[in-house]
Amino acid sequence: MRAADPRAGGRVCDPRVPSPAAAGVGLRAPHYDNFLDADARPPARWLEVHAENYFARGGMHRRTLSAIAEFYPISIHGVALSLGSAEGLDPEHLDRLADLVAEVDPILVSEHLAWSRVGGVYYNDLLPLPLNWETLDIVSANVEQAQRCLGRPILVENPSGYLAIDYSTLGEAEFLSRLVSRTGCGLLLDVNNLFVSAANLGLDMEDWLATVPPTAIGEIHLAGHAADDNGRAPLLIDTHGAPVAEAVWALYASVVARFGPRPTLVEWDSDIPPLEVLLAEADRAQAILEGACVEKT
Amino acid sequence: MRGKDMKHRDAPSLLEFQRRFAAGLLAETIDPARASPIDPGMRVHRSSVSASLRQAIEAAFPVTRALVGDAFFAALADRFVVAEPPRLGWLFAYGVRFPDFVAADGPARGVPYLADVARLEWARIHAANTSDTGELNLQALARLAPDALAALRLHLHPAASFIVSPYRMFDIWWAHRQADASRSLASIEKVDIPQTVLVSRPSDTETSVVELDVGDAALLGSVLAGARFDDACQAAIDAEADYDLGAGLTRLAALRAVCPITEQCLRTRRSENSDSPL
Repeated sequence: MRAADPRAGGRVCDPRVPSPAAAGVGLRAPHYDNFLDADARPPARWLEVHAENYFARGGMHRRTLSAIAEFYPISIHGVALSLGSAEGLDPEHLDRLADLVAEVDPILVSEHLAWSRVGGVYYNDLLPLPLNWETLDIVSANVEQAQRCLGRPILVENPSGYLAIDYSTLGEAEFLSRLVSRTGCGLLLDVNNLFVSAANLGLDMEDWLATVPPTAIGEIHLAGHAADDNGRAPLLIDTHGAPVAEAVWALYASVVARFGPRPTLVEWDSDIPPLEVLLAEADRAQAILEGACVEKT
Repeated sequence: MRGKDMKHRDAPSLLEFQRRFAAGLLAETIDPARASPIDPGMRVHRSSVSASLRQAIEAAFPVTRALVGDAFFAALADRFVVAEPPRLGWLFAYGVRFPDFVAADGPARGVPYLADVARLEWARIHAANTSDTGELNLQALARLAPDALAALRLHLHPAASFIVSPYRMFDIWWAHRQADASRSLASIEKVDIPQTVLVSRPSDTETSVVELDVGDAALLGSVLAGARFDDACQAAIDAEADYDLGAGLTRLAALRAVCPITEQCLRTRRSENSDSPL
């Protein structure tokens, strides 16, 4: 457990809660100049980056990240490690991730319960897994390999579901709970993904929240979604391209009330708005986190 | 329950599941009209894969795209994605083969300079993502003994690209970066005039694209071909009679066109002294 980071702001009201129990924002290229402006550093509590954007060893992007990391706590969120690959992890991918983690010394490292790679091709999407015992063995082995290589536990994020996969014999919450007990990993609870999967696939949110081990939840994600009603059945799509939906805010507040505050990230990856809009979304999450702190003291 | 158990007994291995799933991801990217009715959820993944990979190519080659228009480029990018899907999980490296693909693509070959403009755009991405390496120290060069200097073999800087084109690809690229691209482009009447371009990273935080004069181009071209320092200098003077060698070297060093001197640069090539095939 890490000590509270004074740079992170936010109150840590439970010593078991990983620091920072504060709301951060994603660092995206359009906002680099804002964060590099020494005369007007934006009041972000912490920043999360997509690991793969900084996989060039050396180079200008890595340099920019190092410069920004001097002033903000950084969380590293991988989107392409493919923890669900039956063929195992790509060793060079893992090596580059370990190199980045060693250089940045992030507050958190996270990845997804998904796969993106088979037959040497990388598909750039978080693809769904059949949740059964074979998959649990494979994901556990991949998570353990990643944690060994990084020298630290990672958080694994629940996916947004669009497709009911045959051959699943375990519920998502049960699968993740078993993954936690087998590997010692933590969980990244994406509240928007939970909401989207409930709407698209009928996932039972109450059952999900009651099943996962609360102490394993090390981070929460929030993002906007969109409705896609072109098909036979309307689907919610996890676009990361809009403000967080009101129903997701309500779910977030209930999650924070239930589990206590957790480091929370507002993700926004497409149609990226001015930084102030993103920071205002994070401030709204911060108010909910601080409300939970006040209630508990 | 029983029916469910039966189904799971027939379940494919995870590897087989992933192979089958992947086979359906890019299959109909090129011809959506042939798409069969599919689960809306599968459609979400298909469109996410094909759109995000197309967008990665669009983002990497904005001028190439502007030269042929959005619709033409989208179709070209889709053909590339299907023919050469990414192998690496870090997408900034995706597109290194796109310029060669453009050069060989039937419809794209109708724009003869298109592949060279794509090469220039890729070279900028390469320059930005290559590890920092310092610049050639001219004082160190001057301190070398005359024989060692003459036999020195410089190397292209790892961040730098040297692009020789039979077309005015630098002018075309430059025009597209101006506020009024259509007016700038209108000034380019004749496109088949050769241009040589150096793309490099003159400092740790910036990339540079310059058109090289014939003397600089001859010197750097010789270096790239593995010539000794004295031969490379001679090539520059042969190409441009009043070539100012000192000014040229200073210019190329400042642009980080060539590497700092290493032991490897000073070592005489074994192949020079023997005809051994090894």
